[in-house]
Amino acid sequence: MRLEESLLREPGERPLPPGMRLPQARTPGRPRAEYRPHVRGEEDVEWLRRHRVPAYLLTSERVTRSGYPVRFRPWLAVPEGLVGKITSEFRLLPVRDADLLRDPGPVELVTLLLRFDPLAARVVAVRNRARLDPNELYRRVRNERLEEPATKVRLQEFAPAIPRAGRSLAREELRWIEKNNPPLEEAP
Amino acid sequence: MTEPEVGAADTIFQRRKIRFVVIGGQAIARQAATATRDVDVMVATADYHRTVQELRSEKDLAFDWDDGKLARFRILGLGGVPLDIIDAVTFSGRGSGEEFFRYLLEDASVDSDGIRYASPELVWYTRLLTKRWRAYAEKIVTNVLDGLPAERLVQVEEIARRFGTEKTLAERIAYVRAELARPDLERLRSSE
Repeated sequence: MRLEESLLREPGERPLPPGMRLPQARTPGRPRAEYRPHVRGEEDVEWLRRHRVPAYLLTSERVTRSGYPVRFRPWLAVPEGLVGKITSEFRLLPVRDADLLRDPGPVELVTLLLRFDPLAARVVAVRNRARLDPNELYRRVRNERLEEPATKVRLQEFAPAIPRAGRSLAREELRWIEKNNPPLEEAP
Repeated sequence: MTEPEVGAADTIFQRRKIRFVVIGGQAIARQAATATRDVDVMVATADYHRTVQELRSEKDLAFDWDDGKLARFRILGLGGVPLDIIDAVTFSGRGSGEEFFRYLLEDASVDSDGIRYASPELVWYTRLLTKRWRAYAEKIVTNVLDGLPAERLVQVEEIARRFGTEKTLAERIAYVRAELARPDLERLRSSE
């Protein structure tokens, strides 16, 4: 047996907007109001967030604003347990701890980036150093079991308690990446 | 669509009548995730020194340095975005710089809005040949997560065989493949 997460409509809550509804087969013993939302755009993610569903759309614009000019297709970050419960045109980025998606600040952004672009995580960490809480960064990295990519880009420089796992890129290589990607607003 | 940084470089090169191919992140950016600012262009070996000389007198550029095969300028009108000029011989292995540039021009690049962009596999090949190849291996992994097929690594091997650099690249390509095979990354690749 295994415990599955579900999206359930609460008493008094309005149903999903028509565009987000997907036909859901009834399963004996299951509540009828189980959701399987179809997330097509940013507004659908906002709808989910307004209804306290932990979902976060990670976009290039957010990363660029945080100091690393980059372009990539958005990722829809959701808790691992919801991966099979949501249909989306966005790529899904599963996270272990739903709390990571509640109100993502620089620490959470660095943590999410570690999953698919550790170099971006490093540069964002460097450029937001004053706003990175070392304890929070340690906690997030541990919760998501991202010690290996964190070590690769030497995040111990920002949160010394992160356990080392695997090998690190040379400092010179990391500096090269930072130097070659100046932030948009601070270009010399 | 031409990025403003590439457009600015193209204007200068067209005016100076210098052949070039965009490589690096700006070439990758047409198909996959990348950091988007700096512009890397490759020129024929026979054109390299003339190119650097001419660009040093260009009012829209600031000259930073030249090591004989790679020169860095900054595009003044765009906040000092780096513009790197690379001699094709840097990546030509056992072949000549002219052979490598001809191959790039004829077989490993495409035209878009009148500008030639290197293919992703050519960019990956150049990145893996540099001394900072481990950092660039990370970028290749990110490119694959963003949709570029990992099978293109086979074409990187073909380029390496063509220019006699396969021994150097074998370990590096194996490293990229091992990274891509990590279970957490495989899950992300299948999350499309």
